[in-house]
Amino acid sequence: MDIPKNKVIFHTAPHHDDIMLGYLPYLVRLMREGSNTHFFNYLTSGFNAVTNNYMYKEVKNAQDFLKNNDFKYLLKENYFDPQNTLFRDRDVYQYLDGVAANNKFDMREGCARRLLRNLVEIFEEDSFDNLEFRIHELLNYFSTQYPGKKDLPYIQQLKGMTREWEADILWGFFGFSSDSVLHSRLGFYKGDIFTEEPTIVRDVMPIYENLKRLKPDIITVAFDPEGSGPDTHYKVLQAVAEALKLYEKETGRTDIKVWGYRNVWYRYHPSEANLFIPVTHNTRAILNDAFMNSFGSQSEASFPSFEYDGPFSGLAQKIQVEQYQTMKTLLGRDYFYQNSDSRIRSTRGFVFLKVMDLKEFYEKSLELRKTTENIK
Amino acid sequence: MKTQKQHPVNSVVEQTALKESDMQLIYRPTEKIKTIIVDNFPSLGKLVALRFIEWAQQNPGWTVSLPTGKTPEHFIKWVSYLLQNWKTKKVKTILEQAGVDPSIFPDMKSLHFIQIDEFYPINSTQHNSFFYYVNKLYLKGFGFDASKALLINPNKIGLDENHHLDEIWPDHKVDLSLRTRYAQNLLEEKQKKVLESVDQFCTDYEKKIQSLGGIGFFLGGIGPDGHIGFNVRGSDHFSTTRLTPTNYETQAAAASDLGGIEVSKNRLVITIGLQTIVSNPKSTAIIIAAGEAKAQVIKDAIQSDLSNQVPASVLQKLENSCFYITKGAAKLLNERRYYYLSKANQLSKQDSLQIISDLAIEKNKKLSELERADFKEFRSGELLLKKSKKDYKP
Repeated sequence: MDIPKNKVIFHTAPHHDDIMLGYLPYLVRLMREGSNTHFFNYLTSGFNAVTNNYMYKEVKNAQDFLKNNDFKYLLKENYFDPQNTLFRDRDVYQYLDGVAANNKFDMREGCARRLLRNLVEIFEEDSFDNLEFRIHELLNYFSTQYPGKKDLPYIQQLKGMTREWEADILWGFFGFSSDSVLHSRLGFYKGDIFTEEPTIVRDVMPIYENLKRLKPDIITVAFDPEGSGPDTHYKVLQAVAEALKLYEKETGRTDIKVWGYRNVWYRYHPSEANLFIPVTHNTRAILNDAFMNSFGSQSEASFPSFEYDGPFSGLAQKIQVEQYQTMKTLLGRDYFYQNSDSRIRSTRGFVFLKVMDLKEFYEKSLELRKTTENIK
Repeated sequence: MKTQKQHPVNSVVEQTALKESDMQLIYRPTEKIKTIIVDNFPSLGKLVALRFIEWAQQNPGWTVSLPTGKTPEHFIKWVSYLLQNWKTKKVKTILEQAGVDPSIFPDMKSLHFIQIDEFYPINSTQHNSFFYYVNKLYLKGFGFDASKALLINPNKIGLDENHHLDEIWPDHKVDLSLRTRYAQNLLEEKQKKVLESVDQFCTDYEKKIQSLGGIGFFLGGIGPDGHIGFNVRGSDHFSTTRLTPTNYETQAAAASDLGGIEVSKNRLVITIGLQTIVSNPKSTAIIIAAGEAKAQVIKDAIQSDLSNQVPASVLQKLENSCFYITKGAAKLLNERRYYYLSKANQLSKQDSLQIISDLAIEKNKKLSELERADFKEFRSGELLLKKSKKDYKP
């Protein structure tokens, strides 16, 4: 129940929902301790998990808003300038105001603003007519391509930016702005059937540069066991390990802690974890509400787990409750029901984490590498 | 007295790999099928590539079925590499080390390639159709003779050149009730006719496979529900090639290939059956699996008795069937886990904690209430007591 204080915590994730599905209930507690500083670094753009149908609806929504006089004014005002972080954050506030007021129109307007900003960035177009033309082109693309076809690079970028927008909303829920949410789009992530391995210059250096700039005390990483091949989580783990080695060498810092998390694809056996965080109805509700309101492209669960027919937040809840049942057996029912601490009495789920020092993290990532690649 | 089924190793490649793994081929009575464990994902591809080449050398002219998806990545790379560099010293050494004769170049053109399965309907020119995959990576990649191949091309089944798949199935949904009811309109009339052609195609496909002597070499992955080909959990062990719906687990697994579960849940599949795979008792069938995500399904497949809830259990009927799996996929195999634990001089802290917590869960007892007698009830608990050389005190 001890919450770290005065720490810089650098949360890394392969995909945009990995952190929240892995340990949001713990993060909520960490964020309530005001002395900690948080940064969130998404290492791929996650475009594979966005369907053409979803993009069609989003682009159509932007087209509808673009016809609106207010949007024409915003365009003139240079609101959609991709470099303007103040306006960029305002997209998020617009959306979140809509969530609070239960006002779908405001939420849709937030989505339209961000999508148009993304189009201005991708196409380097900021005239009304040219944007209209591009939108028309995109609507045609998303309605005619067969589902599952590998997208063109600029479509991958647009889909990825849509997921980045969702992560911006998520952390906006908790008061973080674009300064704290970093999108790295590592180059190994391309959407081919057989994918590339990370490379130092292309994939490790962006993480290393963030470490140098932010000087974290704690780093979190998706820490899955041996997968069915070198998947995205595995590659991100290896890239983070390499970046940390460079950073340790450069700074001599050996005191950094690594928190390994798992979410909906794998879970820890209790013997593998060493930090057990209670989940209450309160933090569970935050997880579900934040997921459904932030991850528009994921709420319909187009790419679900085979274990659960529904959105990932539902599966995360199921796993956390199963982990609670395990802990209840190991510690006894009365430990929870009769505990003098109300935080334990209110526990109805558990998040399991593995806290490691750098040496252990390097050893574990090497062990994992030996099971995935042919190295000695 | 009933004699126990023997499990000979006829393949030198398998004998060599088994020796390297330092384990038995099968741990009876818990395990029901032969299993070889390799260190990692690339080694899995290499082993199965060498076994395939060994088999191809010994069985020119027979039939081959190979899998689609991501799991065969290293198998495809290794076979291509070995075939393209056959004469080099490096490949000669690799072959010799594995027990493959480098003087016999496998005659790939003599083999009949048989496609295992396909979504239906799907435009076969799409890059996510299995028809496209096998043409690109196996027929062209390995140099099979395309004219000898049995393929499932949905664009051609029941359609002449004036009709297109999208015209028959505009929303890509097949209503199987058309098999047993009258068509209600012109479109349904066309659909019923095509559906009848697909069913006939499946029967003919099966007949062609059997006339070639069944499937000589079958290599498959295994799905989250244990499916082999698209024979999902519950499939009849006597099933043959057919058009069939899938289950949720299979649809979820196929969602990334097809662009979302909204698409995959509406697609039927054409698949060879479980009986198709085992129809010839001389066939070789290998299932490959990597990673801890597959551990439970692998445990069920290897340790289960014959059951239609476990499609892979049908492979117990073949003398030459075997699972090639990585350590992660083997994690839940009882005998293998015990073997690793008993081999270690000392149990790691994590292994000890796992034994203790599993014991508590099994006994439904608090950790603090476990007693020595509880530990002695389970061999891993007993092993822990023995290796820790002290009494367990909670």
